[in-house]
Amino acid sequence: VTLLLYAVADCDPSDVAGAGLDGARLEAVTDGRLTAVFSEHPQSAHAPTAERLWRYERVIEALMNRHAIVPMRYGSSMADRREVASMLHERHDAFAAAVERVKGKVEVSVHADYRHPPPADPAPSGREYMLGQVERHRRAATLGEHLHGLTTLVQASRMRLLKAPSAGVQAAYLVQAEHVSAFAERVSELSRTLPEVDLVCTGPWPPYTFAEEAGR
Amino acid sequence: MSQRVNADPENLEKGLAQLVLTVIELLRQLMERQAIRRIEGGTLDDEEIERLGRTFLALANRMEELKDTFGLSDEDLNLDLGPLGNLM
Repeated sequence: VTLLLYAVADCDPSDVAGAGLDGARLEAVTDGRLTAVFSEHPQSAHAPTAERLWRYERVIEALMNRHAIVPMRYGSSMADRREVASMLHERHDAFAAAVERVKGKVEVSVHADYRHPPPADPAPSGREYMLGQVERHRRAATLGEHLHGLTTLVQASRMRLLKAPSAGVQAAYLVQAEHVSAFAERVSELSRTLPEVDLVCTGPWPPYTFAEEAGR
Repeated sequence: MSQRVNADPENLEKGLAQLVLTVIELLRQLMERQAIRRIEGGTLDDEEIERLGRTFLALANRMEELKDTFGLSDEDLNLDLGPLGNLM
C-alpha cells in the first residue's frame, strides 16, 4: 500500500472530499491549520502516462479552486499516515509560509520563442559555436527585457532559457487569481508588438513553481 | 517530495547519474556563461575563442550522449535556485 500525495492545503480536514486517481477516496492528515491531501493505492509503481498526469492535475486543480494549496509533483508518495503526519509536522513552517505566499494566486506560464531562429550549423568551428552562444544569450536577454513589462501585474516570476539552440525563454508568473484575464490581455498586447516572436500563455495552473521550496 | 529511497538498482543508478550530471551541467553552464561574458567584454582573442568553443562544444555533445545513456532530459538536470530562478 502506498499513499499518493496531491497537496498541502490551508483547510479543515472535513473540507476534503471527492476522489483522487483510480477513483480512490481523498483523505486528509492535519497538523495545525495545514492539511495534507492524499489517496491510498495498492501499489507504488504508477507509470506517469499523459492521461494519468492530467487526471492528477485535475485533482489538484479542484483542490486549488477551493483552497490555498502547495501542490505536490506527480509521484510524491508516502508509506502510511504516520509518515504523512511526520512530514507535515517537520515542515509545518515551510508549508505554512508557502501557503501564505500563494494564497489567492495562481501560476501562469508564458513560452516565448523566436519564429525564425538562425540556421544551426551541424558542424561549427569552435569560434562559430561560441559566437553562436553569444548571439543566443543576447537574443534571450532581449526577450527577457520585453517580458519584464509583464511583471507589474504579478507577485513573483521565474524565467529560464529554453533548450539550445533556441534563444527563447519559458517564464512562470505568480498572479492574483482575479488578475489572470488582465495578465492574459497584457500578453496579447505584447504579442502584437513582437511579430517575430511566438508568445504562448497557459494557465491558470496550481502554483508549482512558487511553492516548491516547501516541498524539498 | 518523498524522502524515501527507491532501492531498485536501476533507479539508484539513474538517480546517482542525475545528481552527478546535474553538477557537471551546472559547472559547464557557469563556465560557458563566463566565457560569453569575456567574449562580450572583448578580452579574448580569436585563437582563445576557437579553443574555448571547441572545448564547450565537445562537452555539450558528450553531455547529450550521457543524458541519452541514462534516459535523462534537460528538465531532470535543471536546478531551481529559489529566488535566483532556475539554473538553465
